Amino acid sequence: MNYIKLARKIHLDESSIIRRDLILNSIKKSGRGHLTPAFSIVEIIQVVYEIIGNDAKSHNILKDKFILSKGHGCLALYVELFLNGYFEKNHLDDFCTFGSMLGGHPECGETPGIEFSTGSLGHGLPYAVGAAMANKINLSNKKIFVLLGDGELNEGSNWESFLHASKHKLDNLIIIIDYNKFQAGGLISEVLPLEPIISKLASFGIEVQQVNGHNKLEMRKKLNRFKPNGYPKALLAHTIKGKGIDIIENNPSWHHKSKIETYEIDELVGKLHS
Amino acid sequence: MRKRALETVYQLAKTNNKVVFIGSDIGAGTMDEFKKDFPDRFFMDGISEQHLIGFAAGLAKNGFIPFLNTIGTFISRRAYEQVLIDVGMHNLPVRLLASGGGLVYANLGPTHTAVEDIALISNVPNFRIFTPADALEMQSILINTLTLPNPIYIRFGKGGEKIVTDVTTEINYNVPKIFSKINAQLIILTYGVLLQNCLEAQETLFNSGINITVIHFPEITYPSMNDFLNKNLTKSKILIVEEHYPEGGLYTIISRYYFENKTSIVRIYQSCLPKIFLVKHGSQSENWKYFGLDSYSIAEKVQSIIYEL
Repeated sequence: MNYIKLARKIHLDESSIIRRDLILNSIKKSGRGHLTPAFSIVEIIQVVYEIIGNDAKSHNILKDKFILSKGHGCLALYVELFLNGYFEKNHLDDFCTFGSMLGGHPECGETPGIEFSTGSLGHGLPYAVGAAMANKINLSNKKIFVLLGDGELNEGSNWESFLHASKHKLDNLIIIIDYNKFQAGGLISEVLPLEPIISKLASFGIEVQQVNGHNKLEMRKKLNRFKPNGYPKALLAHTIKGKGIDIIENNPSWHHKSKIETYEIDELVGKLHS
Repeated sequence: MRKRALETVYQLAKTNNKVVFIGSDIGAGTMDEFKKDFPDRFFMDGISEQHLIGFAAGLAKNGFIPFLNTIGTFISRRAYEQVLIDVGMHNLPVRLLASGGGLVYANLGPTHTAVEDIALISNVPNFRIFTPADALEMQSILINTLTLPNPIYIRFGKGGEKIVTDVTTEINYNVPKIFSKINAQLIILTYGVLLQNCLEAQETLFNSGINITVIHFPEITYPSMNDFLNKNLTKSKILIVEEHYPEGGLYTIISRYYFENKTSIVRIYQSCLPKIFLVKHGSQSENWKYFGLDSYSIAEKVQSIIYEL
């Protein structure tokens, strides 16, 4: 199955468009942000939050947890948290401005709903392994979801964690990889190739499923297929970096921008809805 | 000291089911009893410090108290960013038990000598840093900090050190200890196992008619440090003795204190390690002698200060 083709072809539904619209509008004031790394994970985060039922009211009770290890994709998470009632919209509008509680990377304790602060890559998975182990010791069947970038897999700490998750049979750990094929410096295949990623993960003792990371129905199905069988899980989500607006899709110059004019954002909003 | 510390962790695990032990790859047979009695809370998980620190943070955020033991340099240098972000930034109750503080592993070369660990860890907000002088003090620190919400870094000595401290309590386990002589002409400030060398120097000097006071800091990050120094630094000559580079250790803390708080004229002297990669090898005590940290060198240094030689 050609997942890249499927990821490119799939049309976004209204809820996906709304989320991207919110992301675009939230960067108007600061004129900066990691747009395309957020656009590739919108559907993944939407599906994860549907599964873990992580609304504001249940935040403090024992539940499934989500860690965004590729912290630079935080705009997608902030929008999901806003839609789940964690904070008011004015906070989204203040994204990355001085004194805002929403920074350029997720900060635990500063922003409601953030389980673990990330930003420097390769930190989320070791933490997630510890959190999954805590659930095992507590005989809890709650799951830990952690979302990694494909470029993030350059970091060796992840590969240490794969060994550990496998050793401890953490089948309550679900590692989702945003496989958009790009990192800041260009194509993954040129900067530091990951392939054959599926057999690499499998050789570490991890159960791997592939999925179109913009197809919510398929993601729900694949995630439901994971069973408590002693193997840590990985969902390799094929995505398009910048999915939803053709001029920024797979365009490395949009990985991060620090001076985005309002008229540019309005143009992007127009293209998103066209 | 390490042996007593790990025994204490085992004892703590017996009464507190949140105590977890994590080791990197620290020797066969270590903590066998712990492993046997609490297998689900025992992790001897290989040479993967970056992962292990994050793993400990994940456990701590979810209610556990992880005690993580490996060689100090691998905590403070190898996994510094994990210590800073995963543990320090989240202010989690992880206990980092650093084997081989200072020159314990001098024979193994500069990859293994923790001579800048205090500088590194003290620049991580929220961390408390403990530097016990002997096994008794180590035990007291572990017991009395069990419920402290902060992250903790504890610097271990080699082991087998003479007991020079008294039993401490919940109230005074981290309070600086003063070993005073009447009409002291100079105050030595030190921490860790060098306290023993300083006390030996104090006795040698006493026999030669020179009285000095020695102050030991079981906690480098002692919260009431300024009040303590205001009250006790009453002499105009101060000597800092530490198994650490001058930058970022006790010498820096005291120099800053004087710069910010004291108006009286005082001379601060130091017997710290020189900021070089330490490649002399040999034993810790041979290195102490070479770098002026054995009791004889300390006594000599005090004499040269007092007599302005």
